[in-house]
Amino acid sequence: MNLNPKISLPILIVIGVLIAVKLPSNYYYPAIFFGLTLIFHINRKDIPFLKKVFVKNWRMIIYIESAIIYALLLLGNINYILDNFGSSLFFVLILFSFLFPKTKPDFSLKWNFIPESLFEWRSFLRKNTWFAIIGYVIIILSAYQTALLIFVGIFILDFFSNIYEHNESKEMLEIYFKKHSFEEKLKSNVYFFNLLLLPTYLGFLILNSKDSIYLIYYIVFMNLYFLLILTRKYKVYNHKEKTNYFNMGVFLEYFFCSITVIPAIFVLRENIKTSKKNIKLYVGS
Amino acid sequence: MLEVRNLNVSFKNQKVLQDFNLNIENGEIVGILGKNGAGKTTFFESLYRSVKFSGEVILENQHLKREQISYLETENYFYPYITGKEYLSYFKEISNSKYIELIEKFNLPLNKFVQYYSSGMQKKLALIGMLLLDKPINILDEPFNGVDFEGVHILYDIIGNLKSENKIVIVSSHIIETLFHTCDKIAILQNGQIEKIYEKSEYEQLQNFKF
Repeated sequence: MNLNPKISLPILIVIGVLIAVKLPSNYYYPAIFFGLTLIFHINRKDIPFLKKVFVKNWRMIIYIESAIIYALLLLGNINYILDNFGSSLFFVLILFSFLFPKTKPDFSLKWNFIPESLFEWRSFLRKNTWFAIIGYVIIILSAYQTALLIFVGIFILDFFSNIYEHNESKEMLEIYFKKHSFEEKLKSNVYFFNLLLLPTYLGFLILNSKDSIYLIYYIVFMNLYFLLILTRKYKVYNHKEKTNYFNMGVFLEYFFCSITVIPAIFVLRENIKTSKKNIKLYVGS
Repeated sequence: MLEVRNLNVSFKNQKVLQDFNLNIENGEIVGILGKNGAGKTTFFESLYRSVKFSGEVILENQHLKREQISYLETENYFYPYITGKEYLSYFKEISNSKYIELIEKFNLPLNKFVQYYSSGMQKKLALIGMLLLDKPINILDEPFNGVDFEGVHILYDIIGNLKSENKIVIVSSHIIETLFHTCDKIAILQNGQIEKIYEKSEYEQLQNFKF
């Protein structure tokens, strides 16, 4: 579906699970497949090319491509029988021809209300404004059902990882940690992360109060993964590198550490220790 | 006083710096002149302790620490999607008056995202941050690259100010005239060593200098 493994791997996991597991209701299938088609649409970068080649019909091409992908996914699923809900989403796909990611992002939302100490979040949201809004709505909606909560959780982890992918300059690092301790940085980021997930937590508690044990696991898992990627940034920080080279290997390592909880705690302790040493090199005592 | 004694740096059996010695007094501006690959940046990286070296680097009779150095690299990068104003706001608290003076001097479009600045503008912004850190040793690696005519004169002014604040400034540049304008001494770096140091009165000899 997409050559970027960060996107294709979670999608393959979902498709793999769908082959093995029959969902409780038929309504879930078209919704999930529509979501996958939407991910493809959001990530496409060929729209300027289509505009040039299909001068008058480029919107129709976008629709046809999206409809083919959606139809293939629907028809490829042996557990699903076409229904009205699934068919109606073909009409919703028309919107894809008019709503698509721009090559130059729109900065109508500057996210200035986010404090300077959370500069990674502010930068990420500015770069991915509309994607983040859509993603956030999906995260909140995932509170509807336990399996959905876990699925969406796995999906979004990778996108959260990108928040800490960039390095600040050595001067910015120095001045930041002269003002804030590393612990303060961890705390403020974790508070913000959980504040964002709070509607999901509450929604799940209200809708699925009997399954609250899953929520506790979800909170622990998400927070551990989040802390791992944040501490990794400073563990490997080097002023000569613009990014800290987050990749699929790191994602899988931290993902498995987080789902098994205990290894994540050990890795986290090591990350914090090394990060502090590294920061001290730039900031001094 | 900064004393560099018997500095040796090697990369994969290739000696980049060999028994490199240099003494710089407080308030002195030293220019480093050398061909591409002569080891200028390696020398700066050694001072900044980001490469392994043998030898001693002493400041006021104590080993030099990274935290005592401001280092303006040849290429500067900034966190994406932050404005110039946001970047500088982190440094503002150190000295508000100096902050105002510098942003007035450089007159940068501070509300714009830094990634849309030209390389010269990015260099100026990095320089402002670096100056606001207020360190005793200031390393400027090719500070004049990509900077416009007006910017070059502002840089002369700033380097002059650092001298008056009794700070050590080490500058490298491919444009020899910029070193004539700013430096008290120019050291020629060749074969991993300082071959000769020219005092201001001897700059005439460097007019037609060839390596």
